[in-house]
Amino acid sequence: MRSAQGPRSVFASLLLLAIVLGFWQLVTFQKKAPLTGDAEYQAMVGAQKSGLPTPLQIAKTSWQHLRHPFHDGGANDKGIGIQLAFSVGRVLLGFALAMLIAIPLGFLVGTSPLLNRALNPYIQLLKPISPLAWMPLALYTIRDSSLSSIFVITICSIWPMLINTAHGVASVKREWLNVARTHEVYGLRLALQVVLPAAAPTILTGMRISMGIAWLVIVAAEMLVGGTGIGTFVWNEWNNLSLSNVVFALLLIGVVGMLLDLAFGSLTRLVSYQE
Amino acid sequence: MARSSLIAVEGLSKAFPGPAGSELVPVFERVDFTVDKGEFVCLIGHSGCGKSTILNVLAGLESPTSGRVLMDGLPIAGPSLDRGVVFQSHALLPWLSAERNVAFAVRSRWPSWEAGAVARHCQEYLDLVHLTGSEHKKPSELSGGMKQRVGIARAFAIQPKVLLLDEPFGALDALTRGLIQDELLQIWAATQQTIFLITHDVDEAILLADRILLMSNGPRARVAEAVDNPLPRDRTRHSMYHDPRYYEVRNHLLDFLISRSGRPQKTSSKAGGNRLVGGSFHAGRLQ
Repeated sequence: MRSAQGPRSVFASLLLLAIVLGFWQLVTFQKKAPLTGDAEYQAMVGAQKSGLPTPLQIAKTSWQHLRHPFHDGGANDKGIGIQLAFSVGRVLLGFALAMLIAIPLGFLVGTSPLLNRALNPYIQLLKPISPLAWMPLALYTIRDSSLSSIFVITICSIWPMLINTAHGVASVKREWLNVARTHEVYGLRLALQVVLPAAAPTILTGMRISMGIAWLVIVAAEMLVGGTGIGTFVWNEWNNLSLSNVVFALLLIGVVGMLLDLAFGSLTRLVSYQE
Repeated sequence: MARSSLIAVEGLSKAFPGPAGSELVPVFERVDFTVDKGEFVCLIGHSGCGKSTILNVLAGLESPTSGRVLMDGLPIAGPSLDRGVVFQSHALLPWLSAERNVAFAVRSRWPSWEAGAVARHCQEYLDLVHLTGSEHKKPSELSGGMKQRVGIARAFAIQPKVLLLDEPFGALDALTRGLIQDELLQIWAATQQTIFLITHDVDEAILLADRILLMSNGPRARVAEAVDNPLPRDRTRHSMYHDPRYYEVRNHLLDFLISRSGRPQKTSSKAGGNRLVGGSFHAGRLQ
């Protein structure tokens, strides 16, 4: 079924792309013909001269960036590859830190109903706080903008991982635990050879959600604190009113986010099992 | 008698909270029996009489409300590699292949063994249950019968002092069940394992067991009778139907399950059974 639907869905995707790009080009293309209606009004709403770049302009800008992705001309002139690498690096660092906290803690919470109930109110309270709201506290205590962004990534990545790990660990089938018990398997071996593989698909789903949120948050965090990174790039290009650079950055953010998600998707498939 | 037994169950009872939630209702109470070394004992009864709970207590997975279980004269305190369990739901770890499920048990039993020794040992037991060629399949790729074979190989591989089987063939179709029963008998003959099996299948009990314990219905179920199997040990599924004694035992067991299991049994007064079992009801094996 999939193979039969494949070419048709690819064709439909390309058709949609063509329609959207065509419409975009049509709307943003600067017409030479005089505008009808009240010229003063048109000038006021900015319709006389569209500031939005056409797809062709964006393609040109993209080519300029992609030709020298790792070009480094000083603090304010870094290639798009370097900007992205900084952002991805911050996300990975903050994410790894969150893993170190959330997964062991999730194991504890998942195995102890008492701890689960004791910690639950705090998790529920902290979880809905926008990660960016932590920024002032982070900046004040850490006194480093880049480290503060990493801290914010850690904070926002912890919750889905923690909740999913606890849930996965708590819902390990009783019969598998009984198998471990009748084989006198306890402690670390129980955790690594029975509970971890049993809960791995749930844990990885949590990690995937966390990674998605982290990638959303890093752009905003970098807009806020500056430095090198894709978020700062977007904000700087907005200040330059270079919208084709902004649109190019948006596309790249989407592509990187998609790749990160795909990576976690295949990791999840690797550890998932069929009962 | 109980002194020389491998397992002695003494005054066992287990109570669970009733529907109201407050008062405890005993599922079974004052259960006594023994299992000798090398013996194949079946416990048979209707569902809900607490058969599986008794097995879980023997396995050390649950603790009784009162009474105790002795193994080699020592009380059972928890699960042990001396007591292998074949679970009703096969309970294989689904992320491990058949071979690695068995290896999980073998490594638990002999942690110091090298990989080669573990692999050889696993292969030996997988061959024993005729799973040669399916070693690297995951449980989801195996049929129900094959899964239960892995479960049996896993339990035999650790060479426990006693094997506890909890309705291991309950979920299998009749043909597969018969095949695995034959295999189990072969392995039993070869290994001289002590086996305690729970079933609700009368023919299964007669084919497999040296001694059949009959359990009355819960709540307050008891082990009401112990029937010594009069059929010769070399019986097969085909030969046993030609033995007139088969029908006597079968009728006796069915009679118990259908008409006499409902009310709590007194310890004497089993008219029909004495001839079959050589007067060994409560007076003999059941203390």
